[in-house]
Amino acid sequence: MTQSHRLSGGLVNRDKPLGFRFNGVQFQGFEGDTLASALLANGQRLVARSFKYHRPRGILTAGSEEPSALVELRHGAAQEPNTRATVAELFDGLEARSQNHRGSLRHDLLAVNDLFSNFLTAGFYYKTFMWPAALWERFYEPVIRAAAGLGRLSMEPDPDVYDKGFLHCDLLVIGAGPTGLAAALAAGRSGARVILADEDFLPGGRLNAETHEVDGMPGRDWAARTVAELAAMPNVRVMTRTTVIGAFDHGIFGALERRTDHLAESGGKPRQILWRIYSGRSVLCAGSTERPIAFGANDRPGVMLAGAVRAYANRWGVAPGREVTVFTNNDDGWRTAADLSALGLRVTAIIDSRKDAYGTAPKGTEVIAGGRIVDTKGRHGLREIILQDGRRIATDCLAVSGGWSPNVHLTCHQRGRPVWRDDIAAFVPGGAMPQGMRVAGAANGALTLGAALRSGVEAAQAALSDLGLKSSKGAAPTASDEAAGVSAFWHVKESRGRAWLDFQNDVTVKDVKLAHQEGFRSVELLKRYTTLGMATDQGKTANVPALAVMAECTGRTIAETGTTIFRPPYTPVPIGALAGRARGKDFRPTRLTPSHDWAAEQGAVFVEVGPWLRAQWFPRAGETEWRQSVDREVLQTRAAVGICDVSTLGKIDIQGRDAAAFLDKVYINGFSNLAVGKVRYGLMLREDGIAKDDGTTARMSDTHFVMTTTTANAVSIFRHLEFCRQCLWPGMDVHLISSTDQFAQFSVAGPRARDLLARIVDKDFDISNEAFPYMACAELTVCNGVPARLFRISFSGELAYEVAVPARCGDAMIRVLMEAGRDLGVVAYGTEALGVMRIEKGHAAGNELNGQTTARDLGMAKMMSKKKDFVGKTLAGREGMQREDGLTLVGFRPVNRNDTLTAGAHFLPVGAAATMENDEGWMTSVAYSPSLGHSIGLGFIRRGGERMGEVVRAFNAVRGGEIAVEIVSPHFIDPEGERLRV
Amino acid sequence: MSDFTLSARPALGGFRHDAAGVSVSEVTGFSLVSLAVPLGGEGALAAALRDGLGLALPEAGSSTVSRDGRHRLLWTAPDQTMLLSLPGFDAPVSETGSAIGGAAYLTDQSDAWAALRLSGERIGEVLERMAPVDTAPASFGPGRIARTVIEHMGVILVRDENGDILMLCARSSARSFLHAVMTTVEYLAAP
Repeated sequence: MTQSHRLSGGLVNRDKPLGFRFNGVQFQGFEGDTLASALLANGQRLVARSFKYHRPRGILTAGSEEPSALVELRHGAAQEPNTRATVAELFDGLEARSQNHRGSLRHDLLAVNDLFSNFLTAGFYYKTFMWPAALWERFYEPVIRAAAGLGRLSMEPDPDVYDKGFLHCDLLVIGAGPTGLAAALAAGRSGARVILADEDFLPGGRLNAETHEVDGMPGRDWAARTVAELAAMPNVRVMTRTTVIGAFDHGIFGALERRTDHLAESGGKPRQILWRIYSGRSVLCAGSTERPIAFGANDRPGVMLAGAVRAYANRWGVAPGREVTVFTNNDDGWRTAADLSALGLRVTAIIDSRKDAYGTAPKGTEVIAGGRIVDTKGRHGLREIILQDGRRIATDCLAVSGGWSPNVHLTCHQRGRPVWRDDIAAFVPGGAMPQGMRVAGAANGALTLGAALRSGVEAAQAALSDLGLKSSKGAAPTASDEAAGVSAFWHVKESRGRAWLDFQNDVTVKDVKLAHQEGFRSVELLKRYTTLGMATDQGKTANVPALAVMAECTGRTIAETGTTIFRPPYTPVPIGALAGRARGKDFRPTRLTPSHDWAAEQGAVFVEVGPWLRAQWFPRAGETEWRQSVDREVLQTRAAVGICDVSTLGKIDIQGRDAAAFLDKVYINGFSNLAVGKVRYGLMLREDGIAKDDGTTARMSDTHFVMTTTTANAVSIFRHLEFCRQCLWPGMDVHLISSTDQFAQFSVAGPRARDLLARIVDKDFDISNEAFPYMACAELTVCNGVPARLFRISFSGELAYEVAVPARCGDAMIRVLMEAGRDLGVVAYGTEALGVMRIEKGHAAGNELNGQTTARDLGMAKMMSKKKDFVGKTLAGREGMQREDGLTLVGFRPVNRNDTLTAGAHFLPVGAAATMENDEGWMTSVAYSPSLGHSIGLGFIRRGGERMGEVVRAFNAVRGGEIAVEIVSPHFIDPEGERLRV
Repeated sequence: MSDFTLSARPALGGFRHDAAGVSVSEVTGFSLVSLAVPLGGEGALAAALRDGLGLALPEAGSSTVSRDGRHRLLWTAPDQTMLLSLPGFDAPVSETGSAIGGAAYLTDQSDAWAALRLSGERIGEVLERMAPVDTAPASFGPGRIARTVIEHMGVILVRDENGDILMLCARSSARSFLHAVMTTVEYLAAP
């Protein structure tokens, strides 16, 4: 199709024609077009269907405030719904489809909804679909959602990548219209670090859409020259296609930069970047948004905002119609007639709601003072308007101006409340601004060009002064102030039929009146009852006219009525941009053990333990089920020797003159009497007396300890200790640093453990039982001089050691251990076998230290030192924690040895009903013990210590079933601990 | 003696990547020792560092370099610094200990961290997509250090005298960190 409505001039590149498709039809536009301007250039006025009534809709605006012209852009997985055609930059090959219709755009089957509009008013769904309640989720809602919806998602993963970033500046200038350019220029010339962000791909704002002059040259030329000057400054960053979406605490802003939306392919680069901008000061130069006037059938394609009509003609060289009429309540509307006429377009009439209509109309244009439009005609596009006196005027484009509303949105993000100004009939920023923010230009109510430029410079200078920077001497730009008289005229009371306020959510004057009639008079209730301003445009064009109608209903002023609160984001942000890179396995980092590569070579199955990946078991050829691998690892460890990477356990290096005294205070048991070269098990409590974490701590010297924590609690225990050190006892000389990542640490467990280690440890170190007994520790060298630490501690219950070498040697160490132990029958074991062996041995772990249990419950009451104070001591002494019928950690085995125990089962006396009153405790950990040949469990049960041999029922209401179990010692293997000490 | 030897392996296998305007390379063989200042011992430590290693105690957010250029002392926390030394300082705890006497509590951190060097004229573009701190040369010049968070990982950034950035990250998550860095490099707009 030819560009039937293309004029000469405009800021499009006629040397670069671009082909695009809309609803499958091929069109042509130019570089510099938006989808909206290109559609209008081709005479395509009907572009969408409305949300609720499926009314034909066109293009209302020329910017991000667009409520009507929403399309689905691109196709396949890249399909994006609800794209505003007015901000979609045209590229060659662009594909767009209209949305929200069944059948074709012209013949939407759901347009029938419009016939039932008398019923589909505000609150219709609430009132109608109340009964039966069960049908709401299953039937009503899906049907309504399908009918009243916007675009469709592809239901495929987003093929694009997104990123985030962080920027810092002295001054953030939001908006690159005349005000923003003037502000950025003043600040940039002074040497300040400036970021100038604008949502458009072409900076200049309204200067590109108007015929004003700045500094004696066309405004658009001044804008281009200014942008070039700014771009050449090393201290200024000009960011186009970047919308500042929110003002957050402490001068921090969110901004969305669209990097590749204007390209056919993103080439693997991020499509959009979500920036966090840290600013010293900011100037909001967001301009203003023109408002429609509500009158009968004011939503037809062809009814547009007057400023948008001017923008399409001046900036894009597009005639939105052949016979244009203007309907205005202010002086600005007249400029549309003048500009269009200057471009040779026919302007039939200027209808001004004011009786004393101002200005000079173009030659041949009729002026109808005090005129009001009551209805329009034209099924798929405007054909005719009807005035209050019944007169009909043929027109295919009606340019409407209801005045301009300052874009105060970002000033409200910290709860600023706009204030009403009668002189410009608009809200301006009020109340507390976001920290460091000034507002300038139209956004602050300076609605004329000369005033806007002045206020931009002044705001920048004031911000510089705050920051202690000197303003430059350069001349400030100047321009004259245009006529900007306005009247508070919001809707035509004589309208026939419905008069739209919120085009996107199909809210009409009648809906607002109904809300008032039904008692929803607060603006916040009005909004929620009618859904006014709750669509993706947040009611940018709708709010003020609707408030005015509500004010009329209640007999209050608009100032008294107030406005709803604006919240981030200023314009819609794709969820993908918020997610950034945090997708799939990149959601968070992964920590790998020093033996990871070796384990992966062995085909280990890995398990996530917090951010760590740990080997869970090492399947061997012929093992078809995990239990086979785990049983083998356990039996072979207990028979010979097993190796497990335990580097993930938290290691905290504790040093200082008061290190021992510090440990006395954080553990329930004493450490100051621990000899150098020895290790001790310790238990920590929370302040409330509940068990917090456990582990072993080794004394390397008088002033040096190495604490281990559980893997899961490594960070939280470090934080707890720092809190104790810095806040509770700042007078202690004690210092902490994590050394978790410093060491590759391996458990070497089993009767042949010492034989294996003897081949590793350098000969000058004696590891005989006499020289290096149970709970000894030492610094030594291994494998010919590699510094290492050796601890004789055991989680498995076997003769066991943990040997630590610098992490860089970890990969070599696991290979050496497996090689050196081959003839001893060495086996690598994973976390499953580790768990089995600790349950067989009756050691508590995370399941037992679950934030509900006390030292007493764990059978460690005697460890609580009476001679010293420690964290949790006082509250551990509470009466409720001393009960004789308290829980005790014991072992359980099934009476029928073939039964399989389940964790989480609750214990009931034999014959008792399964009620809360009869609940005696619960099973915490279970395992199949290959050593015993049956299932075993650990758990807490009342007075467990006194009940050895008693049979109770392990009842599992979640997984079903119950099993008779016998209470036994938690130490299934080697209860006397003889193996540890050989 | 043992029949076995242990060979050291760099955290990232000696990674190196050169792209237009930015190079990323693993720094290997360095040593790193944390120095905790004994309560009330700041003056003694300052003197010991000056006499033993030719180093001044750094201010918060900065680092100092020894006279022989072999050591850089990083401020890492209140009452804590880290001594970053070039290869050849093989027993860093005992060597530092003998250089400064008992003036600080020492912990070997050489293996706890992996280090990447970022160089080239586009490193600012890389950093602004990763680190929330301001790393512009004007505010983050040579010698400056920052502890910050990149993709959930705690890192130490140091600007050296060549304008390069040294990035220290935890060894266990070094591959994730490298992935984050290389994703950023990949995501940079065509130069």
